[in-house]
Amino acid sequence: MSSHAKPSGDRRFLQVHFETMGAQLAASKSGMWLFLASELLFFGGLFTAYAVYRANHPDMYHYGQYFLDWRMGAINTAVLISSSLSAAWSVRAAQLGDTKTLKATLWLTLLLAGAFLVVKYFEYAHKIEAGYIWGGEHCVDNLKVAGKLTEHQIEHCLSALPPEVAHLPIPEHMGRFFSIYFVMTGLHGLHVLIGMALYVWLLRRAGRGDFGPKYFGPVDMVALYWHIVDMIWIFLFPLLYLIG
Amino acid sequence: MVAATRTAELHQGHEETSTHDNYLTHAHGWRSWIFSLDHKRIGIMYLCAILISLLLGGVFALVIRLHLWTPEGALVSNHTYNNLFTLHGAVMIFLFIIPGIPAALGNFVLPMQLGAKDLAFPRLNLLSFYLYCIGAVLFLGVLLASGIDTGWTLYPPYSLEGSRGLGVLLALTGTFIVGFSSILTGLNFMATVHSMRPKAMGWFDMPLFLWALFATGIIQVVATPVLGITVALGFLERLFHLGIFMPEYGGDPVLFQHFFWFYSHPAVYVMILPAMGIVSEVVSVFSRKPIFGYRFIAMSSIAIAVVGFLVWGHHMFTSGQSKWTNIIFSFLTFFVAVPSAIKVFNWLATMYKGDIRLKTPMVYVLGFFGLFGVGGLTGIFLGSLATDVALHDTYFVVAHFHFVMVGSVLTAFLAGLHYWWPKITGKMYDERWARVAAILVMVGFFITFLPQFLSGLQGMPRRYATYLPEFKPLHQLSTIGAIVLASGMFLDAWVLWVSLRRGKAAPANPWGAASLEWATPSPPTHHNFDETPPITGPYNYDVLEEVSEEAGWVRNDGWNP
Amino acid sequence: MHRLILAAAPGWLPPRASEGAGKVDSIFMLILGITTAFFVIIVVAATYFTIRYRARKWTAPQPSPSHHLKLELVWSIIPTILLVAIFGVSTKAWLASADAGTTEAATTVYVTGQQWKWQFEYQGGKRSDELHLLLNEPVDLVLSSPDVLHSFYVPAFRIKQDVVPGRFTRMHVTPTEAGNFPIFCAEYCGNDHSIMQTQVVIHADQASYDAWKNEKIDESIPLVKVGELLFQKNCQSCHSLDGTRKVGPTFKGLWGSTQTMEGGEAVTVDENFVRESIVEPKKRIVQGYPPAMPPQSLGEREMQGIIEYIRSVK
Repeated sequence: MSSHAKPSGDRRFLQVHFETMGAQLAASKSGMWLFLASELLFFGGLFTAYAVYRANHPDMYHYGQYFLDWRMGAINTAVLISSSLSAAWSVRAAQLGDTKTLKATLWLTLLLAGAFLVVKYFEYAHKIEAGYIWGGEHCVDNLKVAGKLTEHQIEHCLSALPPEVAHLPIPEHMGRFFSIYFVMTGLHGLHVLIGMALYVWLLRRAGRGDFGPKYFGPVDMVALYWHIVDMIWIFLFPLLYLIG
Repeated sequence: MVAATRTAELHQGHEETSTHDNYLTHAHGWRSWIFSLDHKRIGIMYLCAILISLLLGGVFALVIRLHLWTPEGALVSNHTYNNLFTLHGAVMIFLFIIPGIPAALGNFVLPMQLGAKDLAFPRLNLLSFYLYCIGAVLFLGVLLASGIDTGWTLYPPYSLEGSRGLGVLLALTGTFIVGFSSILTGLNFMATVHSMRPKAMGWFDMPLFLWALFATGIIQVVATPVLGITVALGFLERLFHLGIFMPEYGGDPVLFQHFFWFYSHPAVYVMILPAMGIVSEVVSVFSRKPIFGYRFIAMSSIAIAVVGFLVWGHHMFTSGQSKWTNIIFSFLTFFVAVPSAIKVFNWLATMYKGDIRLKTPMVYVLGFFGLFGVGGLTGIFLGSLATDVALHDTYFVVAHFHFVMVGSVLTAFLAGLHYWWPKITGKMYDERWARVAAILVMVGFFITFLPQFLSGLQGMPRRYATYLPEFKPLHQLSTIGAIVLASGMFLDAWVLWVSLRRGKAAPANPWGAASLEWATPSPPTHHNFDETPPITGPYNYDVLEEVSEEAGWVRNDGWNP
Repeated sequence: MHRLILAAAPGWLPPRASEGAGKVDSIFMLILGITTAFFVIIVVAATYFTIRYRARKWTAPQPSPSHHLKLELVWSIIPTILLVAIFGVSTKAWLASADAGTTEAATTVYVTGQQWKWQFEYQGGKRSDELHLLLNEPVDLVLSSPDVLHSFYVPAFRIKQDVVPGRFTRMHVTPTEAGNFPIFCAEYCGNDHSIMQTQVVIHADQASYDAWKNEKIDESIPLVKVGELLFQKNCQSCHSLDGTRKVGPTFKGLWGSTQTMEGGEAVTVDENFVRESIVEPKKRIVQGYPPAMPPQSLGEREMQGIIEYIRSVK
């Protein structure tokens, strides 16, 4: 990733408190890595909550896993890994001053991120429709609470149950699994959205011809961010979809 | 030869800038302030904001103390009292102590100590200031909304019950945003120290204040996001009943405590580490001796930052967590005490055979030794399991953490404020009255909080709006102390106000300090330095000579602003 | 040693009314001694240096080393050793009281903390707002809360235990001093947190304790009876009292026994396991039994009743 090129000619984007572009890039990089460390700890809290509940209520995870479609998750994993590849490619293109490839790869990353969210949308829509939502509102938990659900809702909730769980006892407070699922994937989705906004911004700047061998910091930084978003998903996918 | 030419050039530069172009006069109008990217102006804005928070939190504290004059409560209802202590804690912790030294004084000083023109990310710096302001406004919104009576610790299930009003949601949001501000500040500081040090300044040539801010940055970047996710989960729990923290929906309220203290214990070191950094600077300058055991002090900052992450469970010895958890956390807690002890001994050794001048900052630092001594040593009672089970959640704890978080951090903050005041404002203040104020503050502090150790020992629980009559004399003594403390603070505010209005002009280096911020004029120019000055070492006093009281100290290598 | 330290303990410590209290106080005095010594060193050194090396007109700092490895190691290692020693002594004393909570001989009192009062229920049906104990008689307190966090704090016993909704916590104490001592709630619990106080009454002899117990006829049904009624209504179709195997495990000899779960985990049947088996019966199933039990929602007193009843089926 890192390049030790020390551009000095083009000082258009050199801020006044730095002496060289190299110093400026080095500072941005260390700042970005610290930010990503911070991001990991932010998600770390959720992974801890996941682990604590998994240790205390394994039955809940075993049951809940069947509600998530691993095919959808796998597609999204592939989509994100490809987008990471194109993000890395865009950095290389910026460093080489290849504006055409740069724009193409930025577009590709943006589109793949969009595709990820579309798949996510279908997953969410299906669950919310059936009533498999978070915490105390989860329909399976409310089946036996008299008067909480309408006839129609009950029917909906039961008809959408995955066949694998039919013979399993229903764990208490199943909604907690979906709380964790929605909070983790939701927060991740929010990061994807932010990433898309950043790629739109990069596309505008690339269109203006800002980037080249002497100035490619923003492309580099956004790509770093994007890799972390990707990496978090690579943990989320097996934890939520695969290991019941 | 090259050096001589450079010196000559710089002297020329000095001629030009001496017509008083400094960061305060560089641009005019309110826009030049609120959109300023200059770390010094942002530092000043932070300083004003946190002083307002200090005033607000202080007024809450005074009302609390006056209310406790009588056992049945002299002033307000229980409900109002509960709101008062919650807001006192939240405002003082999130809006004053945590950002106090790093964001206000650190912002001003850090780039200059590095010989740099600004922080690595000036825009991010301004952003963190505004995030801080938004968070602060949300806390004020809590006051206007339904209030908040949960304690600053926000323990569920009480805090997340449906019947709590809007106040809790506002406070959670405010905490989240202020936390974000803190992360960005820490990140900015770390990146600046890491990547903007001049080539001639190695890690071990930095002033210890920078080490302290760097260690603080580690905690801010690593711990604060966990607070962020905790309050975010609390927020969602309250709105959508996630069932993560609320037992009603199958959640675990003790998990919240773990999350909360994973941040909030290291946060204590966000407060105390920069304070220790100031003490290191001041004790060396006013003893006119290099700091004793530089490496031990620098490394102990990092050690505190790291070990500080492993001890959060000592806040939960009575929560019903497992026996082994308690024992491990107690054991680790004892190890945090060691680096702190090392620092104190090193500071004392710095004074040995020194040339000690009792200027105001040094008076505060001498007080700090006493206050931090009491605060730190009483921590041992609370880290030890047998005694903590008796003392937990009593006034003993209240007294302990006030000695550390207020006694030590506030006095170090004031030491720093008086130390850098001539640099910040270009004005000197009245030494005599400033010292009187310092003594009033510290004496008032002892009178307020020493009795609370006693009442805690005798069983007085914290967060009580009313109390058993046998605690009355101790409570009254405390209240008297609070009034003395407050009068000291007001006297000091007056001293500084007078200095602003008609203080004598400050020389570039009034104290004879060797770190680089004193190699700029007072107040500094817009870009601090035209060129990084030659590095002579932060505690190398051999290169300095005193000209006179008015003209301060100059470097004898000819390099002067 | 222990007694010697205690004898020197000043009068401002609160009265000691339990075995553990004396131990806590002697550790308190030990730490106080060590920390005071350190504090004196700090203050004396700071004061002496300030006076001795105060700058005067023509003084200058005298040469002295800027670091001294041996000295620094000494003042790092000595505090470390002292701290580890304190840790050892303190943890040992704490373990003695924490481990004591499992003695079979002890009587049990159910403590309920709720906004904003304490309720005590004794075996045999007596209920009260004050905690009544008999001198030198070990007792287990089983704490629970129907609303928010509380903390049960008796300064004279030097102990404190948080009361957490949704689970049981417990503490163990042997009173050693007759008299009345205050009880506080130490975890903030809302508006009237500060009036959530009562007292523990320690009776000097059995006669006075019995007199209190029979003082007025209690209308309430004893806990064990509450449990029995619930058992007859909800449990007996699947759980036997005589050891015969029905759908679920028998209650006979269940309390305190160790059961193997599906998956091999061994669990001791205590308050929290019984609570879990009622609230979340499918979480852990006793090996060899079907996961057939539906979850029940019980009030805090019914929960205590079932526990008391299972205890009684020997």
